[in-house]
Amino acid sequence: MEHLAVLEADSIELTFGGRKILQNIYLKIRSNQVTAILGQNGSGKSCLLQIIFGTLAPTYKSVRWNGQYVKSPYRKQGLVRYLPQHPLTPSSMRVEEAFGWYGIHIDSVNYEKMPLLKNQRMGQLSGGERRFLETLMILFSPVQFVLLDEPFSHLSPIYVEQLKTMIQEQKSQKGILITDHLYRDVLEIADQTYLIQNGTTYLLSNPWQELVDRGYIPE
Amino acid sequence: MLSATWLFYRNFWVFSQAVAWGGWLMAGLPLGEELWSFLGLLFWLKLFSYGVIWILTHTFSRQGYCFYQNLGYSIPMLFVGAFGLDLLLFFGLLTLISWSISLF
Repeated sequence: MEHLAVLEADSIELTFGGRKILQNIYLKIRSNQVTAILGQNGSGKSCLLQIIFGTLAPTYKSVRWNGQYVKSPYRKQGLVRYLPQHPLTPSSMRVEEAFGWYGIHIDSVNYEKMPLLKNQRMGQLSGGERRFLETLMILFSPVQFVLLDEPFSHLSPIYVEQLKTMIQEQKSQKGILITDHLYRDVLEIADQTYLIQNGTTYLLSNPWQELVDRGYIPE
Repeated sequence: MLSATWLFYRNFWVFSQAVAWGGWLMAGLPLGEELWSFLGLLFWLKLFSYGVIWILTHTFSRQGYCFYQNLGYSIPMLFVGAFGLDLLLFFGLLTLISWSISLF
């Protein structure tokens, strides 16, 4: 039987200016699954992703890979990659070169516009195209886990649908953690969903109902 | 590691080298024996200009780090590597100039 990797985060406490942003966090991301985090603006979703990635230092944290503590997950080759909310790649870099840096052969990405775009520089692309391609760079990365921070932002509906399909395809090869405000799209592809509220994570067993009950979405 | 460091260094190599060569120019273009007495000063100038680059990058281009972090490189690693490359380029070229002039 194939060994499935698990990435866990708990005991996280993050404070900004005396205000506790995160506390009592527990999150488990499994291979072959899409794990979603939902939460209101300013609830600490992006901070949590950066803490798991290892680039934001909280007061306390424990991030474990298959039960082993990992101090800086991003430093561990082949473990995790992170899509931030801001542009990821240098603007002067060509699309094909950017994918190459991340160990992805451009022809392995099944996107019909790629032959037209691969020789363009990242800075020449429209905001949506750039966001879409940068999301694919992370999604298709040869790593065990990917963390996607608002991948649907700035994307037109057709891109959102394509991306959802690609996420579903890629989850057979890795664990995917996603956070976005387009909750319908997120819930459609998520295998498990957490809600961050008052700095704490809640694993939702019946997401649609519990999101209403907890006041995240209207009735 | 070297190619990623080079990619990172390309963001500010013009500024860094311009400051160093400017310092050499201000010192009166010392070469040969004279250059040795200025090496310490030029090194401190390089270190100072690196401090300025670090502050500017941290303030205005912090987002750019993520590309390299996804490749497994930490920010200190990138700066130390780029500083090494920068020193190598500057002092290597200075040595080459000094050596060429002593030949002719």
